[in-house]
Amino acid sequence: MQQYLLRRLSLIPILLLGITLMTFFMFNLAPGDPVTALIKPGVLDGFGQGDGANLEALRARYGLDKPVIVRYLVWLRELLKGNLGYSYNTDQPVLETIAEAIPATLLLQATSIGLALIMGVILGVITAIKQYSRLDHFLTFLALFGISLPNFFIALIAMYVFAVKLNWLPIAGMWTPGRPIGFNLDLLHHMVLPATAGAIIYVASYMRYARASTLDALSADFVVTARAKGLRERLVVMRHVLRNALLPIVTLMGLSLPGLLGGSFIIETIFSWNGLGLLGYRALMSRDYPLLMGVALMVATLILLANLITDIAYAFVDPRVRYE
Amino acid sequence: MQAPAEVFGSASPPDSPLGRAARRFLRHRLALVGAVMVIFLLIVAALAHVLAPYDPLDVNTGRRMLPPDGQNLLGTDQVGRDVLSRLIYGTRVSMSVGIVAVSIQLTIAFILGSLSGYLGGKPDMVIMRFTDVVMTFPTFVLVLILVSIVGPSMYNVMLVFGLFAWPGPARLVRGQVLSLREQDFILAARVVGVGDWDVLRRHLLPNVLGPVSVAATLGMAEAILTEAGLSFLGLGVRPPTPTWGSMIGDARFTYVLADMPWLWLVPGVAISFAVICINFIGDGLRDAFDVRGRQALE
Repeated sequence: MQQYLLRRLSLIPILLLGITLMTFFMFNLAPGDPVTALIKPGVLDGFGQGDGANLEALRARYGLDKPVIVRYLVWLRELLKGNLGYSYNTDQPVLETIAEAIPATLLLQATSIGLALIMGVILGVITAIKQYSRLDHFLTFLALFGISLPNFFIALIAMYVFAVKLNWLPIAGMWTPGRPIGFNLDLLHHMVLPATAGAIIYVASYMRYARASTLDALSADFVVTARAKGLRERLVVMRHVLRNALLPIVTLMGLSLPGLLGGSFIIETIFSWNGLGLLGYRALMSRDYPLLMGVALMVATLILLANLITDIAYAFVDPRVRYE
Repeated sequence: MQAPAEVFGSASPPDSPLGRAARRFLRHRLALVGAVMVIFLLIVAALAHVLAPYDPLDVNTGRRMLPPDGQNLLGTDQVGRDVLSRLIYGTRVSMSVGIVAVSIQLTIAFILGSLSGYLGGKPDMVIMRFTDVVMTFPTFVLVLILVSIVGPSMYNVMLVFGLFAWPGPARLVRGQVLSLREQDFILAARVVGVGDWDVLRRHLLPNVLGPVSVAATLGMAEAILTEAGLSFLGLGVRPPTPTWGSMIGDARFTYVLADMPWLWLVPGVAISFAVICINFIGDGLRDAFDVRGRQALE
């Protein structure tokens, strides 16, 4: 286990370096200069106005006249110091702005994943146990629909039905204007629609996955043995099938995070949910590249961490992985 | 027993793997329906200029925001354009994005995946770490950012999707090549002196086709959904070009969502329909080639 952990952890710095390289060169294509964006707003104000020489001197001081590789290193050095630059629009440090948006996104995503996991696993196990029954056919067919519908279409339909027509749930936002903000019932009430709309696709794909792995487990030798010794079917399923069928599901949570975070750009925009996705969308619309760059870095880092945790969790529950 | 040979031509013997897969695919009812429908959509896309009753860009201020009636079968939008005509032209964008993006994606996936799997060692490690890095960025976010940097247009959406969505299928190809590489028929080919390139081309790649065809359907569905999502946010194909995504995007205004459901329901159903049909084909191919669920998921 220790060796596996070490091997897995030693990859992290390489991947992080890759992420920064990719982000930097991606945004190097954009107008503006990632490194200039690191300079505190105001510092440049005295320069530049009719004084080209001064600006040049300043650029030289920050290393901006150097080739792109050097500029990358300058940017990386600042990044390691925790300086992600300043937003073009608000002049606020990017790191602070992002830190403010993260809790809202994590809360929404965790709820979506949790919802999808519970629903998906239950439906998947039921369809596997009742394989080829009418219920199985119906749910498998429904799941195919579930993974095919665009998340924004699901969100709009949910919004139309439950917020516009039935008026059961708030249409958008995180809190009713005028009411206290914070982690309260009002917030949960506002979260029902976005969390469910974001979860539907994953309910369907978890269900398909849980069905396949339960079927696998059902045909395993140890299940035949359990049945042969006369164990009741209920116990066979609860004790032997489920435990083995649900193990692979652990990996799914890590695998679905990129999709969920990508989808949060759409879901958060539709429901005005003030998280990373909406922040990224606003940055995109206003060409606020330093902020956008921060969001991209943060999303990639979150996914990297989630993958790491998933892998370790999986190796922990399934010893075979460690010796691969 | 002679019949299959005639059906699939003399080029493939009666029980060639490809022939068997084709027979299994044809028995899969939903997959057949999906295939027929996708062909139908391709025809609509190709003949959009003949089928559309109006010019999709024609503004008619006298007939704005009208629900479906005899003159405009699916109603009109905020500036009086015919929704049906825009829907028909939207097929063009979705289908071309799907096909072109997947072609680019799979070409890269094939090259990197088979090199990685066949060469092994250092090249494999470098390619796989690169894949890992690209994979830590959600495809949708990557495409969103890059398209906004290089400029939103249909061609940029296709290109950027193709250039950055290959990690999944590349890992699939690598996995397949890795397991095939150790099998007896490859060893046999090597023993009789077949070169690296020919082993790869004649023995490995044909055997990878099955899983890759499943990945292709998933990729096409994802490409169509990505373009729709981008255009929905107003960051994909530029207006006034009609696309399904940008048509639904109008529903971000509450008055459209609440009072003009025909404007967003119709294109929403169209996207879902197209993607469902493609996924039906994918399901059929998965059964036909006996691809295991786990591999196809990636």
